[in-house]
Amino acid sequence: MRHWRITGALAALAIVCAGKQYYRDATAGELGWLIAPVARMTGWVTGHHFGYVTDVGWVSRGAAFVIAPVCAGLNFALAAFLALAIVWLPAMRSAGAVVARLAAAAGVAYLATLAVNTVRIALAVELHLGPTAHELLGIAVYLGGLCALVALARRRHARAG
Amino acid sequence: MRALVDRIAWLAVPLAAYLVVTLLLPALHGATRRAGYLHHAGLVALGCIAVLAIAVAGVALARKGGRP
Repeated sequence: MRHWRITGALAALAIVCAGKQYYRDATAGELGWLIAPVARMTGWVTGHHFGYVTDVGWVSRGAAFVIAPVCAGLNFALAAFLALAIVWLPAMRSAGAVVARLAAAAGVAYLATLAVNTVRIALAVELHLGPTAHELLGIAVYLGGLCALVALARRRHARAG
Repeated sequence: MRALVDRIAWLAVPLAAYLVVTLLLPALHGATRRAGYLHHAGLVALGCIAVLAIAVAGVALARKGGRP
């Protein structure tokens, strides 16, 4: 049983390393699966329209704001995936359970990233912060979102027994 | 003190996951030589300390309020 948990932890770590490698060279277009929905939701929240500009990202001229690859939120997605995989390690008791839990962690991490990154970018659009304050805002929103996600996952895991 | 640590120990998971993805893996890839890495690491450390401080304050307030 224990070896499946070790397998699950190593697989999660390998996926995170592969994700980091992918993120290093990814263009705005390649990250569209992550940025486009966030740009659309940020548009709904702030009222500013974001349009795709090749090799730049999603741009709002009205808000004077660019959602570039660095804003994609993939680091949050990978951290959320890793944290969920750790929380769900005790349930990884077979090969099937490892695959199911990692797939669930990936799906939940993706949806959480869309929500948390929309909040982060909408706040950044409205607050017009300087570079350091913008970075701090991102760290605060990401850490808060990550803690909330893990708290929910732990509660659900405890309820499921 | 021990009870307090037990109450906030779960925060180690999200904080560790964030530190691994944003600082450890880039450092292993040579990011420490890049300008701005230490600045970002400082801000991340500040964020982690703030989360822990809020959690400790929350537990202390809950105790003061008589909640278990």
